[in-house]
Amino acid sequence: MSDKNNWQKICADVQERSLNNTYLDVNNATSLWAAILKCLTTASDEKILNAKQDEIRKLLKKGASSQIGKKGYTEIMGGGKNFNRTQDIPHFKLHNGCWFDFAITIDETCKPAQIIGFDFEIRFPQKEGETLVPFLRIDLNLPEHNNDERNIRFHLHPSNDDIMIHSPPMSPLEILHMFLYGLNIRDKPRSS
Amino acid sequence: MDNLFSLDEFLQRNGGLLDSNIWMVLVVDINDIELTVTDLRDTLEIFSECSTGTISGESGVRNLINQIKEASEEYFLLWKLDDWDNNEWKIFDALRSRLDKGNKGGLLVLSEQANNLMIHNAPNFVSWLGARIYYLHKDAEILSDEECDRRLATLQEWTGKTNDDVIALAENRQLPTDPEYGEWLILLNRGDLLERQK
Repeated sequence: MSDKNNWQKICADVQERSLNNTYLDVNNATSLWAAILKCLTTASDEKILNAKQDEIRKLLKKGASSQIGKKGYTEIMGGGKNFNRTQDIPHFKLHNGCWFDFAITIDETCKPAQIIGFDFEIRFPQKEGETLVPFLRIDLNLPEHNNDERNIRFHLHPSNDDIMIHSPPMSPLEILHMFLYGLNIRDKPRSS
Repeated sequence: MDNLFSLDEFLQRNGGLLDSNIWMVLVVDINDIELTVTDLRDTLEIFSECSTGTISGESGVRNLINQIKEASEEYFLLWKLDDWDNNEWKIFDALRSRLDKGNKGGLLVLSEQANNLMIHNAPNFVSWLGARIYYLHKDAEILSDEECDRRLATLQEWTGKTNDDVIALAENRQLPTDPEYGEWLILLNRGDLLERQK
């Protein structure tokens, strides 16, 4: 299993396992938006999230108003678009100095509605001497009519936009919980 | 107006109260009632973590009270009370104790006119409500045009592409699969083009 073809087969298998075990079905975009709102509000009440309730409302938005009987595609956005990772773009900030934003695309033309794409990125506090902001981004790319030749639609970037690793089977709500409660930043690196 | 709440603010402030025997009124433009009730049905259970029944008053107050009596849900969303006259509201007031089914309450979604009729004809129920008569600030949770333009400008700067380039790529089924391109089409109100990528 050392040649490239085998690796691509492994990628396909891993992706299939990951996507088959990820909760991507939702009742609709509004219910997912409400679940995210509740999660962020609770984290604010618990002082995990450094954002008051009104600040959460300014950061968490829906991109389209679905009409009854005419469902389409909807976007849920948390924070501004921030490709350059600058702190002056609106974002969610955690008590430990980490900061994050996200966007989720939902297909409401089917029942149940389905999450078809997202990007979640958390940035970690920069230490002295670091020139780049360390980050972790988890992407679910849009589905493609042709199989993605790299078979890595659902992946994470570990502080490098060019490196992609298969993502664990985590739904957007689970990723949000991980950002809020699952990443403990140590003052000193773990000793080897 | 102190009691003007967007849907997200309403949920944040009252989410904790939904799990207790408290009744509230949300006053909504009569043309927005159906959509608002749909949104509330989708969101109240998430915040209250208890089963929510949506009950219509279009068959009159006694029918509504009977439906509540028979319902198995814990929390109630009452709507279609806008055609009730003075007498219906007086009966509602007289039967208000039937609303009390234990430790959960409910929410009435009313037009401004129905709210006025309730205030004048159901004084005891209004006393129950206290200050919990809220007015809906609709669509405050939707991205504003200015915020939308800002996101589009960022996407254009990041990719070097124009909105027309992205629409053309989608029309030719050549849209890159990065998730940002799905967002881009939705911001342009062209989410329909995502259908072609399937």
